[in-house]
Amino acid sequence: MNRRVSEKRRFVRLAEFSPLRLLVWVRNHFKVARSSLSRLIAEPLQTGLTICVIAIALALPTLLLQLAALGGSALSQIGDTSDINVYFELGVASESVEGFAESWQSDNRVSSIEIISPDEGLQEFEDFSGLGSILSDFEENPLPYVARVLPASHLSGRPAELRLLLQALDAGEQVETAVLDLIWLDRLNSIVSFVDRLSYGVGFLLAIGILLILGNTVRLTIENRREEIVVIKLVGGTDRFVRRPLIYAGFWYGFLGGLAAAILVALVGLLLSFPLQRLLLSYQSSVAVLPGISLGALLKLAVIGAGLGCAGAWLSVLQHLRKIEPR
Amino acid sequence: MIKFDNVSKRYPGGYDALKRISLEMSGGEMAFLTGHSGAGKSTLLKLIMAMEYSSQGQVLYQGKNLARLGRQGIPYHRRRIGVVFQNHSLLFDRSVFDNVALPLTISGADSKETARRVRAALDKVGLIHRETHNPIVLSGGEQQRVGIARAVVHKPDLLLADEPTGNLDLELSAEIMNLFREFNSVGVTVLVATHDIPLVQEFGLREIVLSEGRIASDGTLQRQPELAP
Repeated sequence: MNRRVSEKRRFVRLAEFSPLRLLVWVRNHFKVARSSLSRLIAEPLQTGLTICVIAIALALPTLLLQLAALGGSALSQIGDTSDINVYFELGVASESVEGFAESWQSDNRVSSIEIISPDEGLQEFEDFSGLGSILSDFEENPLPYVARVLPASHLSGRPAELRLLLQALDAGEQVETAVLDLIWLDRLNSIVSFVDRLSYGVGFLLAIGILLILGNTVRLTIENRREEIVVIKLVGGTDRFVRRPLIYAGFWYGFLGGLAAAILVALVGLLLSFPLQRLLLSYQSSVAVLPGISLGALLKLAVIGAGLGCAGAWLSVLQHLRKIEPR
Repeated sequence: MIKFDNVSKRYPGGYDALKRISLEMSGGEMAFLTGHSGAGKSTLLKLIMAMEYSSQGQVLYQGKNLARLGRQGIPYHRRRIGVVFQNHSLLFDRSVFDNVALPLTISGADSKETARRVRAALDKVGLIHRETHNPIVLSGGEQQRVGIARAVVHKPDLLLADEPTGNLDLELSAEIMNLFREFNSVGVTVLVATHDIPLVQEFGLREIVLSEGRIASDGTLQRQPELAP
């Protein structure tokens, strides 16, 4: 009888807050997390499919975001190296073009000047446009002298000063016109910011999708464990105790889905890196950051996945667990 | 310990399971609850477990009105009670040990203490050699004993049993009842609902007879106690 009483006291003590209770609490959480994980592993097909769905849903906006970031960094490089084409009037003597170039070479706003003669221009046009045969119809070369002016690096990112330089070049003697082709840069810029926005929009929708998928998965889990939940409630399990393994299941689905998404992103990056590099080189831009996955991004994906997993499980638990009561 | 004060229970749809029940059980007592099926035995136990609430009157447990427990309070109330069901309610996805350990796991007992208590409970019901088995491989009588071990492992103040011998033969039934008697002898209050009236009468203990939701009789019927412990 005495032993019984002392054991009872021990139980009462456990119910109050103490370091021992905290330790027990943490250990219980570990135990639940581990048993949730092993339950998922016990059903590899179902778990694998759910993780795949989550991985795809997380990888898609990530790839879009990377694409936008890539476009952005490519754009800044292209912007840096955009040059001004100075078109001379037809029939200008090569000496005066060279004189123009020499006088501007000393200007500190100019980094370098390349002169393209009409013949060179023709050759370039034939090579790149594939329309060389059209030009052969002309009796004489219709192309003017062109000076390709590369602005000094301190002008990059300062469109106003760039425009001043452009005006000065345009005002030069025997210059027909000076062109700084910013329109397509503007277009590319809008495309990049569109993709950026799109990736957030898609990401938001897919996050909701993940919540719903996981909510449904956890709902099925609750249905499968109905009997267990009833027994646990009968022997005095709190709502929290019943909820815990389900939330952990959501956590693991999301976490593993995030890791799988990182693998997907890395694979797609690997597949795309070569063609992408070629594409960018053709725009005179070599971007160091190619799609792929850094450790930070991997962690971010895992954390976002785990967060969404917990939230989805929580929503499902809130909705369905209360309905299961011992009768 | 338990007090029913003029308790009626009407289920949705108008069926009266209990009608103006008043009874009291003191701590350390053991009693049988008998009556035909549908007499209200299970409802009475469910009221004590706070699985159902009375429509009228009060159910008091250790002086506290169970209607005022609230959702948060119910689990802690149930932890002070051990329950044995006719269908055992064991979980077949885990071992006998883990089944018995469930009430301790729920209250967050540490694993050493849990192992000690689970083994003590299994030893008490004579199933210590079965602890690693899945309950599905056990016989009906053994499953019921696992259920009993689970009901007493956390040393409850009150042990409730709803038709614990429903599916068992006479000999096993007597064995189970004797187990309850043993728990009672160390101070646990025991209330057993059963329709096995001959068995009950062999014990010569308090018998509460329900009939159509009312108490038909309440008292000790002395019979020849040759099988009693």
